[in-house]
Amino acid sequence: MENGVGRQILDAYKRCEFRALVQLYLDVADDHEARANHDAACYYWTVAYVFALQEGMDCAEELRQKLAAHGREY
Amino acid sequence: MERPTVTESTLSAVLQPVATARGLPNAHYVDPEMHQLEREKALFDNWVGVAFGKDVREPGSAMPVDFMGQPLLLVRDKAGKLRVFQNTCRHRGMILIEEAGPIRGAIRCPYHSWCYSLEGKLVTTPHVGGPGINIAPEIVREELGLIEIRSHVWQDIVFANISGKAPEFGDYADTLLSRWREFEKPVYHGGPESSFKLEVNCNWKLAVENYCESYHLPWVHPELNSYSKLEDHYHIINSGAFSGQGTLVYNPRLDDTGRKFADFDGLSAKWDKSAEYIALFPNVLLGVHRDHTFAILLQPVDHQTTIEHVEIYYAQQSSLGDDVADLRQKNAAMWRAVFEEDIFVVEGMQRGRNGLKFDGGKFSPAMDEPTHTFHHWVATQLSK
Repeated sequence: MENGVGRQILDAYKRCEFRALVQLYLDVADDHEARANHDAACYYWTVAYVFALQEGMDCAEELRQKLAAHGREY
Repeated sequence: MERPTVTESTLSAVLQPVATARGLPNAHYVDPEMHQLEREKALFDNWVGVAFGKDVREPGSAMPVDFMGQPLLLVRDKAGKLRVFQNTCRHRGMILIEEAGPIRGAIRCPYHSWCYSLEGKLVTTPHVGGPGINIAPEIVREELGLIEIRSHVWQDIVFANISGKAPEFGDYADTLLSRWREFEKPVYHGGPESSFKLEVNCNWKLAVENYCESYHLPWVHPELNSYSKLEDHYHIINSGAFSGQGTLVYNPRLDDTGRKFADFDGLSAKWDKSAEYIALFPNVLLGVHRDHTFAILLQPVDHQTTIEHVEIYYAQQSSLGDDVADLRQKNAAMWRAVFEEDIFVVEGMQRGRNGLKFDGGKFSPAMDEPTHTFHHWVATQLSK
């Protein structure tokens, strides 16, 4: 993970900005997916998915589908 | 340490008719081990009041409650149904929610982030099959939802049956529900001043015993007695679930100009002057009047400490208006003063039960039947 994004993620954790965390992890995951790093992408989508569920965000269902398409979620 | 045994001879004296019975022996008040036994048999096996619905009003509201060491989680689900869960993650037993507040989406365990819906379903188990793999054949989500505790909401009181062994609430409280059927209407909480709690240094049962009898009124509540005399009261007895007392002269005068709270709709004439105060065993103390009700939930902290959670409700929404805010204040202050007057008595009885030669006490057949009814009920629970 790029240092700048890593710092942003830590800052978001400190401030409990979970919606921001969803977007940050989603970006990181999509970047890995674009480079065919499927395992890493699923890892970061998972984190984004958990926080999206917690926050009741619409993108949770989309994330579930991405993970399910890779056999990582029901 | 071995638990104290509850022998037939110990309880047989309590189970006698009121004229010949003795009260529960000292151990039921001063022995922590006996407290644990009562926790299981008298409280967890029955319907205990644990909270008020007003505190989890909106869908997504959640509130943790510790009831005698049991971690409970009250959640208002998306459909508006109030549910009581064990506040414990099915994975490693972590406490799920530490503070009351809204849940925007899922209940997320702060430890490994297993997520549950407001209805208690296990929604996801992140990395459970390895990093980025959220499924595993051994993790059957349908079997791992939150443990739901039996619950029932009546008059905004959230009742829970922790062991799951009690009959249906409607069957348990049937006689009381019938008696007060005229009050089966929406109630309106009076707001911040109508909500208070008192911590008292006594066993929870002493609060019940003091509440359900009118014998003490002239001595402990002289102001109350100035208009509601001992002879104006009657006993209320139901050996299966409750006891209490009623008055025939309820006539609130909170204001010299004649302002008053609005009454419940459709009450029969009986309630023009009557009010009733009933302890629904084991731990809910209730009062009904034509214009307001209240409930006191007893939270036993240990064998000699109890928190009384008091909430006052009004019969009509109009009673929540600014024009009667001062009356609500006065009413709440009046009840608070009455309940505070009782503290020295229940705390004194608690200390008195350290007297080794106290034999449980002798009941007055004329005046103590409600108290004996409660002792009989406790003894019956412990005999099961």
